[in-house]
Amino acid sequence: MPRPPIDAAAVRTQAAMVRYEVAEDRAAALAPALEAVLASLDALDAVELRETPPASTFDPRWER
Amino acid sequence: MVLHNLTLSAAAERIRARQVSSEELTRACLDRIAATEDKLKAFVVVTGDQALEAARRADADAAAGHYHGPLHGIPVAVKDLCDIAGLPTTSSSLVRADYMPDADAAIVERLKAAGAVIVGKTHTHEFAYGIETPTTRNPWNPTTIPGGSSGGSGATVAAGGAFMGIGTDTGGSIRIPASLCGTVGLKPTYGRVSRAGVTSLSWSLDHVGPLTRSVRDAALSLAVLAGYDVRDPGSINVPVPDYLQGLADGVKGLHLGVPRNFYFEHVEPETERLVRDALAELERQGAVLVEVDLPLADLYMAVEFGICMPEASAYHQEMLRTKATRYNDDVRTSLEVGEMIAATDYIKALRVRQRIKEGWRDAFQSIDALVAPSVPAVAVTAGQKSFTWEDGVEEALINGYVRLSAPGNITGLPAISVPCGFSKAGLPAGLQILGKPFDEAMVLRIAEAYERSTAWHEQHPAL
Repeated sequence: MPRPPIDAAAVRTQAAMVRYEVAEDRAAALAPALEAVLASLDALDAVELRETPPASTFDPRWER
Repeated sequence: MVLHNLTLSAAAERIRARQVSSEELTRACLDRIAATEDKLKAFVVVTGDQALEAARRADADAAAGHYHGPLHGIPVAVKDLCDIAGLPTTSSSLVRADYMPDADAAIVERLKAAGAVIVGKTHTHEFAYGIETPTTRNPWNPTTIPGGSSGGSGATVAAGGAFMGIGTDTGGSIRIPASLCGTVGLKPTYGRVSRAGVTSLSWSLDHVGPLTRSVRDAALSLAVLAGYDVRDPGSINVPVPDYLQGLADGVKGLHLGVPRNFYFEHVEPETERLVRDALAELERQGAVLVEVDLPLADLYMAVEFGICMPEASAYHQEMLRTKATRYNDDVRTSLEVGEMIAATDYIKALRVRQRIKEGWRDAFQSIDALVAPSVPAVAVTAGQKSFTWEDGVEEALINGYVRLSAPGNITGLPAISVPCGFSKAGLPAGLQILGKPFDEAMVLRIAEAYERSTAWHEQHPAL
């Protein structure tokens, strides 16, 4: 499902969910930045991840 | 002999031979800083008195026969993300203007134990979250940016204010200023150098390393900085080799990967020509150039920012809620956007990172190292906010400069930027060499072979 367009109201709602207050004018300025970042992240859907774990404890060695 | 223009290696030889004192070197650097700082603004604070005191201690130690190694008595600069007990760590931000650590960062402990003399703390793009370092200018042309986020270290090492500058690198913040300022910049393997006491941007991507005037200087510096540290959860306990051994072995017979995709897309023609010339020089020396395809290349930036942004926002969560107006607008915007990235998207970026790591392992099966541009363009004029490429595509400045260095952070692989020439406007360009995990020695060896055949690193900005 594609994300809906992000406007100032959406930014303020999302910010409230993370307990952060954003003024109306600032929310309008943040909307295109948030939309661009989320669109970039949506491109990750193209990867078939199956059982791939997150590299949350990252070790750059190829062999242990 | 102009003392402040020596390489660290040359200065170390003179100190060891008692041909010059640490106090003389330190005074030379402090004089150079005083002469250039109004144009460069590389430093948050210059610690002249403490530096001279440390230099006199180093000289006394040397006179008593206690030589601490190649960094003994050498003036160095430390990025102001790194804690030095008794000095504020401002991260070049009003948010942290009064943050006073009571202990040294691990790398500062190591520098002091090695006898290095700290001349001051250098500017970073605020909290390392950017590539311009707007406080600071490029010594090759002070109307241009030094790059970032370790812009202060890049500027002062190039200008002769210190023989080595500490940088940090989360998306290229050592290699970008190194390339733009015409210095060597080494991002070691993830886990090689402790980040204890260094203000974090993104725990999963942060690295610490040196900016220097020669490859040998970088090798000497890494030997001091590298080593396991239980205080840093990202630190990895692997042996630290002798980085000078094999440094001069050359590239004959080595297989060097040249990316067929990604690294030469949206690169200034002038920069590409300089990098291609460098590849030809390595081939002339006997390296075998091997074309390679890099996997999932169109997702590198999404993974870089998908990991970096939420981690940065997590670090700043409380400060953003209490001191938001003290941040510069670009950093505040990035932190606010990072708050609104779903945890599931963050974890997806971490999963794709694992796939990229596996793909790079496969790509490295037939090569010893990968060679590419460090950045797609030389330094831009301060205030420029985007690139417009030949095909009309517009790209935000941060995306353009980070694009070619971020893979080194995502993969955690060691990567160096070494000067590879100048644009027609007289601005330096950088050649990037990426190696296998913990094989900094190979990266240094290839960079040294290239450097030895050129004189780019012997040029100094006319400030």
